Order: sequence, then C-alpha cells, then structure tokens
Amino acid sequence: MTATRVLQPADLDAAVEILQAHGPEAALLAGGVTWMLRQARGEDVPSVLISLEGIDTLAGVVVHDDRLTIGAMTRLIDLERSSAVAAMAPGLAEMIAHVGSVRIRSQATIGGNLAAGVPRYDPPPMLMALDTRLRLLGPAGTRELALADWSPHDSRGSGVEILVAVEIPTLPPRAAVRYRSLDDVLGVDVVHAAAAVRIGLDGDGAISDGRLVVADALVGPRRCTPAEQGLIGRHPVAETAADVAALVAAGDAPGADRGLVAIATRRALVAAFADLVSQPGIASSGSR
Amino acid sequence: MTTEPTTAAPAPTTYEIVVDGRPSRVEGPAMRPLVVALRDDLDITGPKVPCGIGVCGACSVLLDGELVSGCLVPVAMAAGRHVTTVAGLTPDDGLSPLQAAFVAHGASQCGFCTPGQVVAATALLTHDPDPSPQDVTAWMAGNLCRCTGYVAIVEAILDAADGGRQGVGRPGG
Repeated sequence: MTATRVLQPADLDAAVEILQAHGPEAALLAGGVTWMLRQARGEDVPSVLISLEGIDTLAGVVVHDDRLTIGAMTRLIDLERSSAVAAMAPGLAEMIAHVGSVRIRSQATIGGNLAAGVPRYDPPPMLMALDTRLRLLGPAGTRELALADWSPHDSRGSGVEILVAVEIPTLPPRAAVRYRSLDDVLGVDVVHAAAAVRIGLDGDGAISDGRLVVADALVGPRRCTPAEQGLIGRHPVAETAADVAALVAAGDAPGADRGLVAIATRRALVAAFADLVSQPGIASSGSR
Repeated sequence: MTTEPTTAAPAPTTYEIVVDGRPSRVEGPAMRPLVVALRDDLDITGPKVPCGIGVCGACSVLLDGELVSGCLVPVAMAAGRHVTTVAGLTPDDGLSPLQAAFVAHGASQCGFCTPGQVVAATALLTHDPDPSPQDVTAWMAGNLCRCTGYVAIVEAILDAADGGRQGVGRPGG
C-alpha cells in the first residue's frame, strides 16, 4: 500500500502554502473517492495529499440573482438535496442524483469530481453546458475562468492552484437543461457515453440557443458545434432531436464512441424538449 | 487527522475513531480503507470487502450518519468521526424493526450483503421515514444482492417504514 501522508491545513492560505512547499509530490484531497479508486487499481497516489476537509468556507450553496455559487467541497448529496439547485434547473438536480450511488454522492464533492479530470464522470458535461465558471486560488490570488477552458492537469501541474468555487449562471426563462448517459450495468464504466444539452427558445417557440456537450469513456467533455448549429431555428420536437443526434454521429470527435454518444444526445434533447413544452406559455409545436 | 505545517511533523500512524459508540484506535497508513481497518484491527466483520471499488455496497457504513462505502474512505478522513456498522444498529436484546422485517420477508439468503443492505436501508429511513417503492429502489440501487432478486429487500424496507409510521419504533432506533 502506498504510504501517502494526509495533511490537514487549517485554512485555504495554509493549503496553498503547503501545496507550494511540497511541489509536484503533493496533490489535493477532497472527498477521497478518486484517489481511493486509483489506489485500488494499483495506480500511483501522490506521497502527500492535502485535505481540504474542514475548511468551512469551501462548502455550501449561495444563491445570487444571476448565478449559483457552489463551494468546491460541497458534497454531491448536498447539491441533490438543495432546493436552490432544483429551483434553478431540475435537469441539474436530476444529473447529480444520477452520479454513482448514494454512497458515492455522500462522499464525493463537486470540486473533487471536476478536478479529477476523469472523462466518464457525469457532472463536467452538464456544467459545461451551463457555461459554468470556476474560481481558483493560487499564490498570486484568485482567478476565474470558464470550465470549458480549464484543464485540471494544468492546475495540478502548476502545483499551487486550488479550485475554490463553481459559479453556475442562472438559467433564463424559456430554457432547459438535461443530461443523459449510457453506462454498463454495474456502473464501472467500461462503457460510457453522455450528453448534456441546454436549449433556449425565442418568442415564437423556435430554438435560439443550443449548447451540446458530449463525453464518453475515452474522450472527455467537448462541445459538438455542428450539432449546436443544427439546433438553431428548429422547434423542440422529436424530429429535431433525431436530426441533431445524426449530426453528432457524423461530426463528433475522432476516436469517440459516436454511435452511443448520438443515442445519449437524442435522449437528452427529448427530455429537454419535454421540459420546455411543460413550461407556462410554451406550447407543443407538433412535428415541425 | 493531524494538522501539519509546511515543515511537517511525522504523520500519525494511528487514528482515533468512534465505532459503534466506542472510542477506538486503528492503524494507518492514512489511505488505508476504513473497512479494512474495521475488520482487521477491530474485528468488526459486518462490513465486507468484496469489490473494493465502491460498487457492491457490502462495505456500507455510516460516517457521521451519512451512508458511505467503507472501502473508499481513507482512515485518515474518518479520524475523530463517528462510524456506525450493522453491529451498532443492532439492539442488545434482539433485532431492530428493520432487521426483523428482513427476517420476516426472507430478505436475506446467503447473508453476505445483508449487513450493507441493513445499513443502507437504515440511512434511507433516517433521511426519509416514508419512502415510496421507487424511492427505496433508487436508494438501494448501489447495494448488490446475488440471491434474493431484491423484491423481498424492498418489501422489508417498506414494511419497516410502515411500522415506523404506526409507532412501533424506528429501524435501528
């Protein structure tokens, strides 16, 4: 067994200091799930892990007019139970409830999930579809950037940056997000394909905003721009979902499991369309 | 768990955990799975170690009241906290209402997964004393059983919840 030491800094500044002092031999410990899985598989675990548990400022959900701020150490089960998350986007709460089992969600944190950089994890595609931004803390202070522009390996490589919070913009009216994935039965994710969609409608009920992020076991979350463009101007009906899924099958990243990703895309679109037509003032468009 | 400055003192090799209400001490290293420490250091054999990757649920324990996989919790993260195993949910004079419901419904056959099932179901009924069948199925989805086919397990949990509603006592109470 790897003789990893776990250090417990008293606050964030101390965590940055310790991270800086130990350099590349050290990494951060959030909920611990990913490191324990890597250890169980016989993979390398850093000799020093800096636990962020107990730093109170890193946990919790704060509601702003234009966004939710979620502390990086907020456990997934707390997001699943959050009325603020459910109120802002039912699809986001549904996705969180889909992660692993209740045991995993009771231990895993949103920051740890993102920082793990594992392609098959569920939250990253959905959070990218929501244009989530990240707040990172390093020796030079705090910086913000889009989740889509962040590689956790960059922060880990620099050895000195800590993911502090996740900022999710409030979903506008006449919009919906949904996530669907296909996994093998035991959830050990040899097979995995996922799609997260964000759809917005204009006053006439046509799609004016489409964001489509897909992922599979081999290739991490990425936008599928041709398929996004194929959504614009269409109406939220089954035919649109099928056509856009075909665009994903034809145009997704090389090496990706395009067939399964296309199925997940169609299912996510159908679910998002159902959300939209159930909203007040949005009528079903029929087969257009 | 220790607080260690940049110039670090030696990391602890033992960790103090309250297990089933009793202050206990287990050996490190820090990333040793909690379930292994419970079984090998404390001879608490209710939680099992079949998969070791958080999939099967047979290692289920409560950590400060929350359901977790004992195989995925490093002992360092359990230090100073309360761990409850199936033994801690069992009254001295018999079975809890939930355990009795498992017996009544034949919800255990080989018994290997049963401690984890009981711990998981207890966590559910603590969180939601009045679950629907769908709630039970969703919550227990991470606890695998190769014998029963699950129907008897779900029925036992719903029965125990119904008993709680009728004032005959809470499971694990």
